[in-house]
Amino acid sequence: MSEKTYSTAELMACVMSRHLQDGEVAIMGAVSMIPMAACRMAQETHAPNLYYIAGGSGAVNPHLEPLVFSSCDDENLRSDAAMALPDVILLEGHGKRLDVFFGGGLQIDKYGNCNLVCIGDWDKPALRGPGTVGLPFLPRAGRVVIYTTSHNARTLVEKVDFNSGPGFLDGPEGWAAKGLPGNGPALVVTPLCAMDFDEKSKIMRLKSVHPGVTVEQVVENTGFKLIVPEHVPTTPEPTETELKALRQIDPTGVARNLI
Amino acid sequence: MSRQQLVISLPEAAAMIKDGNSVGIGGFVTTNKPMALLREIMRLRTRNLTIIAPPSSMEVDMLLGLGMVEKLITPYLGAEAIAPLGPFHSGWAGKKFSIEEMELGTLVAGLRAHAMAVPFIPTRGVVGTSIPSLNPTLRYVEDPFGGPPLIAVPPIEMDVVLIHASQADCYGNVQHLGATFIDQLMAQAGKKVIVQVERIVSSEEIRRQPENTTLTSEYVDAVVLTPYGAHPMASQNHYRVDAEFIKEYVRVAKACVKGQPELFEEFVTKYLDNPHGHAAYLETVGLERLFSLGEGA
Repeated sequence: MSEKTYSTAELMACVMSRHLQDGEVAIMGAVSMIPMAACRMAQETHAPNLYYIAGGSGAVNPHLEPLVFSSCDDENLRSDAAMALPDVILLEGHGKRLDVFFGGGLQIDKYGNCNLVCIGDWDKPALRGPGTVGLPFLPRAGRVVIYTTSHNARTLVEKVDFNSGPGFLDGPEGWAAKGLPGNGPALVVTPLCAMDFDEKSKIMRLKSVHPGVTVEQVVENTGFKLIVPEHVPTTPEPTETELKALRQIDPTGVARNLI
Repeated sequence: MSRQQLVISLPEAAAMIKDGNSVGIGGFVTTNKPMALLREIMRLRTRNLTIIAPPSSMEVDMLLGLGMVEKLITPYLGAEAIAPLGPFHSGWAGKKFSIEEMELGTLVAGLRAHAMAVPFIPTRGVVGTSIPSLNPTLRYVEDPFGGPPLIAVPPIEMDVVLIHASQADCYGNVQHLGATFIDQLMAQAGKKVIVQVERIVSSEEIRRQPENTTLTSEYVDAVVLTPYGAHPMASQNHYRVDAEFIKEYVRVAKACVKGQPELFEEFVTKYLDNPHGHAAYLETVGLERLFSLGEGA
C-alpha cells in the first residue's frame, strides 16, 4: 500500500468527485473534509458549474485553498455568499433544491439508513453519538452520497439502532409509501470500496473495490449480506489531472492525511 | 431622561441565570460560543438547567460534566475533526441527564414558531427518521388543503439566551461581522438575551454601517465586554479555534467518564474556579497562546 502515489482519502475524494455532475447543487455538514475536497476538485476539473454549500457556515462555493478542518471555519467566508443558517435549512427541507447531500454515520445499514444518534437503546445507550445534525434532510435531496472512513461490521450493519438519516427505510415498499421527494442513496464510498444500491431490492451492492482490496475483504468487513455482482471492477486510480487538482486545493494534506 | 445603557459585568450577567432555567447557547459547533458567560455560570454551578443549543461542542459537554444540566436539547455535540464526540455527552446520556431528541430543522422551526407567535410550524423534515416517536413535543397534523400529514413543531422559548458577537454599542445594537448561524432566531425566542462582545463601540460606529447590525437593541437585555471571550472556540473574523485546548479538555473529560476524575478536577480548578474574572482566565491561558490564534500567526 505504501508504494501508492495517493492516499485512500484522496481516492475516496476522486470517487465522489467523479459522481458529481456539472451544474449540480451539493451540500455537506460537519466533518466533511473529503466531500469538500471532492467538490473543489470537481469544480477544478469536469464540473466548473458545480455549486456547493458548506452546511455549517452557510458558505456558498467557499474558495478553499487550502482546505480547512471545519465546515464553520471562517476561512469558509471567502466564498460567493455566506447564507444565514435558517436559509440553509429552507434549502435542505425544500425537496427540489439540492441534487446531492453528503451524509454518513456511526452506523450505516443495508438500505443506506444512517445513524449518528446512539448505539444500543436510545434510553440507555451504550454510546451516545454526536446527534442528528441535519441528516434527517437526506431523503429530501435528489440523491445521497454516503461515506465513512471506517469500513467494518460495526459501522456497516444490518439495521441501524436509530434512523437519523433516512435511506431506503425498511426497503422498497416502505420507501415508496413515504413519498419522499428524493431518489434516495446513490453511492457509498469507504476506504475499501464504492457501493451503490440494487434498483429493485434497494439493498447495498458492491460497485468497485479499491486497488489492492479484494471482494472477500469487503464482504468480511460488512455486517450484512452485501449484493456482490459476478464481475466487480477495480476503482480507477486517481488520474494525474485529478491529483494535480487535489493537491492544488489541499497542499497541506488536510484531506490527504485523514486515511 | 437618557437612553438606557445595557453594559453590565460578567458576574451581573451570570446572576441572571437561575437554577432550573432554560438556557439557549448561540454559535455553531466550535465557533462564536459565549464561553466567557458560560465560564462565569459554571463557576456558580447553577443547577437543573435545560440547555438548548444549535450544534454544540465542549461548552455543553462541560456543563454536563459539572452536573449542571437536567435536560439537553441539541442536534449535535462534538468538535468535528478535532474531537468527534463529547465525552460526558457520549458516556452519560440517559444516566445523568435526559435528552429531548432534536435535529437542526426542527429546532429552527420551533424558534421560528416562537418568533411568529403561532402554536406550531408544519414541517416535513423528520419524516422517515426515528425522531417523531421519541420527541413527545412533536405531533402529526392534517394538511387542511388535502395533502399528506405534516409534523407540527411547537414554539421553543428560553428563559435566557447567550450570544457571542463581534461588537455592540452600549445600547445593545449588535454586529456579528461574520456568520450569524441561528443567533437571530435564538435571540427572538429568548425571554432575556445577553450578548458578550469582542469590543464595545460608539453608536456612531454602529450607525456608519447599520446594515451590519444583526441584533437590534429591542431584542437585547444586556451586553458584556469580553475580548477573546469565545476562547477556546473561534470568533469569526477575530481568532481561530484553539484545537489543542479542546483536545486537552477531551482527554481529561474522557478519563473522568472512565472513573478517573482527578485530571478533570485539576482542569476545572485551573481554568474555571481559580481565575477570578475574565482577565484572570486570559492570563491563565497566556497572551502568547491567545495571540497565536490570530490570522497569519
